[in-house]
Amino acid sequence: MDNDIKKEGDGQERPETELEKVQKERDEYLDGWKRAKADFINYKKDEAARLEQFVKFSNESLLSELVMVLDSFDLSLTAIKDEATQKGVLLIKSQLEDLLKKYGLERIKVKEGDAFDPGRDEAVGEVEAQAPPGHIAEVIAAGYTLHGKVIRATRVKLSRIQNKE
Amino acid sequence: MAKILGIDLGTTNSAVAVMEGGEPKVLENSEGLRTTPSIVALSKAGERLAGLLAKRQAVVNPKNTIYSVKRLIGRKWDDPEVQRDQKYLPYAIRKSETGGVEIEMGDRWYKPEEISAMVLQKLKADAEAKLGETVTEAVITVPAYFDDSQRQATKNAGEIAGFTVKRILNEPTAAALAYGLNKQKNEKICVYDFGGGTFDISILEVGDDTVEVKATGGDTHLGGDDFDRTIIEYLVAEYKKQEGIDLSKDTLALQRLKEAAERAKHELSSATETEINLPYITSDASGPKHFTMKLTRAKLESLVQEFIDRSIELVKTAVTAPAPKGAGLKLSDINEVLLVGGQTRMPAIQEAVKKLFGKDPHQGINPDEVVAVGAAVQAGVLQGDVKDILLLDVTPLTLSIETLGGVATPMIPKNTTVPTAKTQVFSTAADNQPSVEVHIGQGERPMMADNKTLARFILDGIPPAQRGMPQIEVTFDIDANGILTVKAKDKGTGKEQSVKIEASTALSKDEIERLKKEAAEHADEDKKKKDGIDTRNNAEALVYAAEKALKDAGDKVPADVRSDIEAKIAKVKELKDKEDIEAIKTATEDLSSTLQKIGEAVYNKKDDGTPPQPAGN
Repeated sequence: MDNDIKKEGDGQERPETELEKVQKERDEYLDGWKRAKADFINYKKDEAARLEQFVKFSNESLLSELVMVLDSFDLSLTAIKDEATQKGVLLIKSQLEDLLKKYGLERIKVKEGDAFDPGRDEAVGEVEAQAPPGHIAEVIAAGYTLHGKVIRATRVKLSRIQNKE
Repeated sequence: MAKILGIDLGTTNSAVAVMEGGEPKVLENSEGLRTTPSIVALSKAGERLAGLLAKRQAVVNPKNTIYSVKRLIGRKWDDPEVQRDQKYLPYAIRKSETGGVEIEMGDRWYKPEEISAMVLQKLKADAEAKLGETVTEAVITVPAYFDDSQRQATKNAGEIAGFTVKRILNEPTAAALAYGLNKQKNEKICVYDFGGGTFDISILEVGDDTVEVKATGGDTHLGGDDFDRTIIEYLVAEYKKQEGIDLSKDTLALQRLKEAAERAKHELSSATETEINLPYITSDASGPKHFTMKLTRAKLESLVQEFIDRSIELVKTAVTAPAPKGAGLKLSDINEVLLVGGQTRMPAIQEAVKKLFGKDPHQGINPDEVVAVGAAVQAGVLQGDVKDILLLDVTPLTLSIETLGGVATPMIPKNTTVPTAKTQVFSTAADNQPSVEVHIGQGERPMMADNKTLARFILDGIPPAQRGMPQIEVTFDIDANGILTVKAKDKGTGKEQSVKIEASTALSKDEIERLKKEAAEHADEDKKKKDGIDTRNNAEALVYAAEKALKDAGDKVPADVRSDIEAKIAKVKELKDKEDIEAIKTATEDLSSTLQKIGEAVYNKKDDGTPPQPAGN
């Protein structure tokens, strides 16, 4: 401190430097305070959004596992030959699907001939088919979204691309 | 201030974390997942994909789907590892002009760092979307055994992706940072990292804020994937024995088995037995076939025991073999053991490691995320220069005010970040009480006498009133310097009194510990004591209410009811100051139910003896 004063030499400059120092400090503190305040407001927003997401997706693990039960229904429907039984199983399945729909679970609509979209589909193999090469030839297992988020991609086989050599 | 990302760039999966409000936080990617496959592809439609999307088309596009590029980065073509990997990688690699490796994707040849950069770009874009701001700086982790060339190549990958790489950090060091072990002095740490495709073992020595890698070991081709494959092979073989049907050629069946095997593996981490149940797995001439099989933890463990045994042998080598193969230490020299990688959730692995070292490994942080978390901690240290002066203190102990019966009523709980303020309204305990004493204490015990008194003052001049009527507003305010101001204000008269306590947070560390310890030790007896006080306070309040009700109701109360109540009041009063809390409770409840007779009597009188009809009938 003593050194500083001596270096300044001119006594008139001192108050200004002090003032500048204090102003600088003030700016720093004000900035810090504003940041802290902004951080807090942002944090509150984030928390609110996070909570909303949390509520929306709190069932995600349960629903993801129920998807496998829906798979089994789909498989049983192709295996059951008796019409009356088939109808019954179909009704149970749609009963379950309707219920899950209320919680945000939706079946992704994909059909043969659609273009392959890795954002929605998962390719598990290739087959010779009528569909244009690289397009969906066969849907192996349905995909599902929960409030728009893909929780299981549709498993598909693609039409083989010929003459690749 | 711009954030620095902590990135765990893994062989199979990557993760990103960032410091937020002083805490590391793992960021979800655009698919809503906390880890991202380290896979890049050029799709058949000519689109470049990274992460999960690349993985979803890997089966049909093996030549242009690049994974495990970490096995190639920064290595020479002649490296035995590269020669070994070349045999099983489905995509084409060749020797570059400089003697390194090049990878073919589409009709172009890429350097491994360019491929890694595409993974990093995806991580960067997702992190930016999540944070809502541009991120340009990163800490990226690499295995401890990476040489200079591999580290430089990883750094280059970061720069290609648009990052300024602030630090290349060893993965085991990151794990140690995540657990805060860097502060220890002269400790030797063993990090056991069982990932999806690689097994790494590192021996670290921590001293004076530096972390030195003493030895590394492991197997670059041993991982959780081996476990899954073994389980699926077992299930397929068992099914063949049972039903005579081979599921290994059926894509859908295999897919379902794979999922079921993974789930079974997870379930068997907590349960000892699980049932795998897959209806309509396939069909033959006789009709549809189902898959049901019980899998026990013991069976699972016997299936993968060879992998666990191998990993334990590698740990022994890394710790005990003389340099350069190992650290040349005894197993008992290891002070801390860390488990990293999803596979370490398996109880058999935890047991094996525990048995080897004779101590419990550190747990608590998600083993899939611990490296990314540690990288974020390092990033926080690097960006933390400004943060330090903004560090906010917390109250070490609860600040309370004494209420009826000597109870310490908390105003500001411990661990509250300061500055903070809290206001609560209290009242008087007796009729015409002219003043209240505000007694401020510090500590965790429920009775004020057991806590440390900070200050007392008296607020007087309260006008005569029934107990409970005056409103005394008490405010506790702690500023950023830990100075506590307590103010009491009579809302009726506006009269107020306050006190300033300078040293409310300036207790010595020992003192804080002592008070906390005492609170824990006395928890049970304190609870009993407080229950006693609460019961007495209730009894007193009820006696007061009963006497008042009798007085208010006057002659509307029949003589027999009145004498009954008076007797019960006398009983409560008599018991109130004795030790038998249960007796006080019983007497109070008895009085409380008898009191209702006053109400009945009053209403009956009003209606000339006919009881009022219930409303709404």
